[in-house]
Amino acid sequence: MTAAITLGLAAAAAWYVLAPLWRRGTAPARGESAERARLVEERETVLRALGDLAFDRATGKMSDADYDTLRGRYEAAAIDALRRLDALDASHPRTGVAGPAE
Amino acid sequence: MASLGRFAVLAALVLVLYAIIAAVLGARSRRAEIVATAVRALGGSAALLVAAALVLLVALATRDYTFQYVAAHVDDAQPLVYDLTAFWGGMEGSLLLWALVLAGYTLVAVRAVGRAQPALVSGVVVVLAGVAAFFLLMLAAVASPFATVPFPAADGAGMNPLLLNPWMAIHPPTLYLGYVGLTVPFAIVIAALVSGRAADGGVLLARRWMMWAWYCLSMGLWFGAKWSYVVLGWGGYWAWDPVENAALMPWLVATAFIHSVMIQERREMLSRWNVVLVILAFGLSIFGTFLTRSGVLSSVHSFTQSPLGTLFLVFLAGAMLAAFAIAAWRWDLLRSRNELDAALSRESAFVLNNVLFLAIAFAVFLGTVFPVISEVVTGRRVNVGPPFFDHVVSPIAVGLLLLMGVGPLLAWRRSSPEHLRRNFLAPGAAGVAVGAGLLAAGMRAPGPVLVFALAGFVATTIVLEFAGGVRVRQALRGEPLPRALLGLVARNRRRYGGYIVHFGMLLLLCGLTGSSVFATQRVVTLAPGESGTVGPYRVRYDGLGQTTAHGALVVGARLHIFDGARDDGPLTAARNLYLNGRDSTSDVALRSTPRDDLYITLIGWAADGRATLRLLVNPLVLWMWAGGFVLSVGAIVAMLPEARPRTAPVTVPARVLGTAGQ
Repeated sequence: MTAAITLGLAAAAAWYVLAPLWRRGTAPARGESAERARLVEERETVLRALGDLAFDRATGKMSDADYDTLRGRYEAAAIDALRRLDALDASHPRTGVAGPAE
Repeated sequence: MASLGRFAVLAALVLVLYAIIAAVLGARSRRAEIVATAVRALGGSAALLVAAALVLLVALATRDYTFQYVAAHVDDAQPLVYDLTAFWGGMEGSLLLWALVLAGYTLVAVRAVGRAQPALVSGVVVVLAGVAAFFLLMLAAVASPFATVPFPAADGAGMNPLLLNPWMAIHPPTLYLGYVGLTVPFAIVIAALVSGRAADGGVLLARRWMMWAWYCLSMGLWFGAKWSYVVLGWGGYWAWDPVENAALMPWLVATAFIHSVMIQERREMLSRWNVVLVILAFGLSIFGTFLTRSGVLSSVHSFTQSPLGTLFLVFLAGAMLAAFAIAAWRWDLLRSRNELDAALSRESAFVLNNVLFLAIAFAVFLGTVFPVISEVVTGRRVNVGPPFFDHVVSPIAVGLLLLMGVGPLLAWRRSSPEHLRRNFLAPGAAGVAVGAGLLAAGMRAPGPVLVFALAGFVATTIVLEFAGGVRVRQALRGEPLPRALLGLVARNRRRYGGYIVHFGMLLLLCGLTGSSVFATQRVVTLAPGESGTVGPYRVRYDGLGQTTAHGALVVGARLHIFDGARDDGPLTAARNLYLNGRDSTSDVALRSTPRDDLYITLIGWAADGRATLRLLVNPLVLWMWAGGFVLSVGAIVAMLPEARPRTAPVTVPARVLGTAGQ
């Protein structure tokens, strides 16, 4: 009896685990390309930097001169990242790709 | 019943081994359906572990003494709730809990990683299943909680009486949630390294998991300190015990990571450092498990000596070698993409903070393993004891306290000295005022004066950070103060949650300093009707009483407390003498106020009714527990997901548009 129950459970587990192998049309595990992931991260980093700069200046931690210098640099970096991201998306349109986690 | 448990563990082991093979094959052949079977195998394994856990719980609840584990940790006089918490009261059960928690985390982590970075799923499955396989192998072959005896005893041995306490019921599982939780960021980082994506979000994906593990470790340490204080009867909450240190070390490394990962997010720097911290935190969590189960160091918390220690050490060595080899292989991909803009910046403060956290972790590690090192080198075991830890850790902790105040005054990327000076004025003045006030009040110990002055400095910077943010928000949106404050925290949960955590740490440090430096105690022997004094308290002893409870004879000293002229009412300090010959335990008489704790233990008594009592006054202890609560609130705020801004507030001048991208 115990052996029959054990065998039954094992068969059920095997069926559950291996079921994806018998499904047709399983979508491949695709995600963002490494290059796109890197560009998205770069964009997020630069946008966060611009937010930090504005906040630190508004709360009196950064001088106007430092703010102007750094803001110019990060704005240029933001535009550069956005342009490269647009260029990548134009050359490789995305299909069914999950968005960033956070 | 027992055979069902054994079968479940064995079948779970088979499934995780299958998951490893399927994930590797699926990744190599780029066939998602094979990886999907690996994920399903992990789901099946989790279900089997739930079944195994239910078998053990039922055996504990029904006091089925055919189970060796039940007979060793339950007895007929034990309350049912402690029969159930005996699940993690012994080595075999605690291993099953570890495997169960890891199985739960694995299901959630694989799903979350699949949504965020599908390319990492197979790697995460391999690492998590690999760790699970080790624990399941231990459960199946070395330390099974389902071992049985043919002729069961009429009654069990019961749990160690020190564990029969509500704090001990929640301390181990909370700590395990933290320990095991460190496996997930480790798995994510290793998977990201192997796939070449560690610098592209892999480490950042690990951040939230590290935060959760850190939170659980914090709460586990807090509950453990509370248990030590109210149960062990020695009047303290931290003794630099090897097993306590084992939980503190990964906490320190995780804390360093939580700070340094912010630099990676903002500056794409320190990827290598963060990878090393994640690997170290995981390694230290396994090291802690090794310490608890090897018997290599004596501790009030550890399980008995067992062959598990060697196996854990081999597993730890293998895991660390493999992880650092993979990190070395991908070292070039982890190169920083930026450099520090200026030495005077928040990034610099964070780097220094990391150095100090790691210095404390190293000192604690060295002090913890020193008995083993000394025995290997000299043949004689030398324990360094609390004075070593106090002398080494305290100055570094003061440095961290200073940084906790200086960091928020600094801007990201670049601070100007004149702005720093200006922002430093109010908090600096507050710190000086606190220090001067304490000196004027007669406090002469330089250490505590420094700590309390720094606490005043840091608390003021935190208040000013909130005030500055609210002011900016009010200026931009014209919101009333409460709404501006709530909106500020809601929009920047990590930043302001972090400040709340810092405030909790301040309370904790003040409580720790007050209670460790200014505690006073007396041992008095009193006849009924006589009184003893300690600090501002007078304790009148009114006689002994005795009763029985849960298999113990409880001898209690009836006391009446007076704080100066004020009558604070009765208290009882008791001692539990177990009828089955186990060690006696204390029920402490405790009166807690924001100013101090009066802590009384019954040491002994005589036939003529005289009682010997230890009277202890611990200043500011309540603030330690309050600090833990505030820290918990701050951590929860920081862990809540932040809403993504709908639009980026960037105004781009035409001149920049004309030059960018060239």
